[in-house]
Amino acid sequence: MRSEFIRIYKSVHTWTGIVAGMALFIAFYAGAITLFKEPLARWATPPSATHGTAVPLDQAPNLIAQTLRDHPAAAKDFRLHLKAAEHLPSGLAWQVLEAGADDHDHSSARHFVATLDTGGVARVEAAHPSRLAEFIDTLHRVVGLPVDTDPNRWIMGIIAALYAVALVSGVIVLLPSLVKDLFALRVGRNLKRMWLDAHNVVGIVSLPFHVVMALTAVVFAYHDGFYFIQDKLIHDGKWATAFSSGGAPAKAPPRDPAAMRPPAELLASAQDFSPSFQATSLQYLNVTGPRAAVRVWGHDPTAHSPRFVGGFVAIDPYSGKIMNVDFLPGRQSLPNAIVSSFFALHFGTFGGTPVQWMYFLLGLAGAWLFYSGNLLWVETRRIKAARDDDGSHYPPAQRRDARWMAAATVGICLGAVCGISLTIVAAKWLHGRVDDLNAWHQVLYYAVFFGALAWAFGIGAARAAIHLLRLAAVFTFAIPLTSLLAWLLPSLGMWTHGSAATLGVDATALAGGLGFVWLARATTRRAMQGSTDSVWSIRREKS
Amino acid sequence: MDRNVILGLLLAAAGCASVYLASPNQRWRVAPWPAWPARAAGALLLAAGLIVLLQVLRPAAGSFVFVHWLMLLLVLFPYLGALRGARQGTG
Repeated sequence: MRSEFIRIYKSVHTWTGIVAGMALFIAFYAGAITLFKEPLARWATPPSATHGTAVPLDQAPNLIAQTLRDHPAAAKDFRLHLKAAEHLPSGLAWQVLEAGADDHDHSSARHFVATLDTGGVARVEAAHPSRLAEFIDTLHRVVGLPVDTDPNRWIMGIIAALYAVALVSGVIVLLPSLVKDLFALRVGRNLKRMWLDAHNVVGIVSLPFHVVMALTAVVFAYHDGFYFIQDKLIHDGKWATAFSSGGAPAKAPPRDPAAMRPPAELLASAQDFSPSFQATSLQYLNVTGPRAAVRVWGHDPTAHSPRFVGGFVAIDPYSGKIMNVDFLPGRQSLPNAIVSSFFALHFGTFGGTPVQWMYFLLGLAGAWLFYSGNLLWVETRRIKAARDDDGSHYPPAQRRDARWMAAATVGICLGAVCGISLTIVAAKWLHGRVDDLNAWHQVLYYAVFFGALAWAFGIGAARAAIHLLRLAAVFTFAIPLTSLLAWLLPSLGMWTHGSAATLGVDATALAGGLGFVWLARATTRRAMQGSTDSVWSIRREKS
Repeated sequence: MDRNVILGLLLAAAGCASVYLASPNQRWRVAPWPAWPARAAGALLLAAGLIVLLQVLRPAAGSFVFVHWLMLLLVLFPYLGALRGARQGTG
């Protein structure tokens, strides 16, 4: 390929990467944590009488009948969880969305839980689930913005499109040396070469992962628009009715939920249909209406799931007949399985826990890909010192754009890391001490994030990187230390759950804290002992 | 975790290691393994790993697991080599 083309693609790669890189760092770091959204939600949920145990299936029909008699609005959409976990209600759960709220933004939803007391009477209470895991997921979905709304998703879509362009142009730039430099990671005095290798190893080897992430993110951002165009062009604007089965007339008399098949029978129907399917919850939809359905949600450990929370088989709760298997893992038609595979490849919903860990590490590697891209940009613009006759030199002033880019990279990326760790810690420390803990999660995250950014610009990237890595270590260590303190001193009013999932959160944070300590030490060494003609040095004397 | 999944992942990991060690850019050993024998062994191990995974997982899920495992390992191996080289001062 002609070198002028390579230069053009290199320029495209550089600028698309620079524009999108820091937002993508946040998306990937938060996304890696979101892989363990459920353990994090369990970790952040205080012990409660209405959560943590599963209602016995033989008691569920009584609970459903009583709840719908007293709270008919719940009939539209309620859920019966089959597994016991700290964050799951011991009965029925439903939520009421605020009028006009965005489909994807559940931050204003009111939650309710119905449980049976010892006398078999249904009790309904308002629930206030921790939105910590949801907030970190939002940071992932809209590249660090606070709420998942249409405009924020469009911004995310632009970032994802730039990411796709950066991937394609980056591969084209690398083509001439792809085979020769495959797996090369040359650590030495040539820092530009080292950062280039460190960047390329991740970018090339995990390219399929990144291509899928970029393309699916664009689709997620603009799916409403795609559906609108598809509706106009293919369905003549009749999308809403295109897939309805006709069924009973809309004005049929309300049906009696007491006549529904018991949950155990519905589960048996699902199990008969797909023996490898493992149900986790039953979602009842419009059960008093003519098109009542129960979605039996769960996973199939041998197959990929179409959604982050798994897949489902839809069953008629009155007849027990299977209504729809379009979203049932392992039993989908080929076209549905192909579409689902894109969701599964974005969410990592296949292969169980090992794949969650693979995605977690590939997500962190992705965050490093964007961080190292910025390091490379800065290194490329480094002004090297001219040697005096005796071989010594005074460090020259570095370019302002390189200093600012270094400060922005450090401030934004490490600010997000510090903010996420602190907001996780706050789930236990602030519980019961503030009125709106979910708002505090946002306040703390953005206070740390913008504080870190201001600090990086205020004192320079070299010093800020050391400080912020140390701060990240402190905040991340605080996650398991908080659990330890809660266990040792119950009077603090915090809690420590003993489940493997929640202890796994503490163990992972401990490992993360050690990682930040190691990075802080390496960064300090580089700042103190490395070449002085660099934005990463804090020495200014003649060397 | 299913034993066959563990076996499949281990076979694939051995295959990745073999392919990496055959590369002139590997940093685990002083000299790379002989290219073609190591690459052939790597290919066989990778094929065996994929076959074992497909015994317990459906085709799409099995191949997705396989590909992501390969990507993760082949990203990690050069970094482990660089870390080892840096500690030994061999760059």
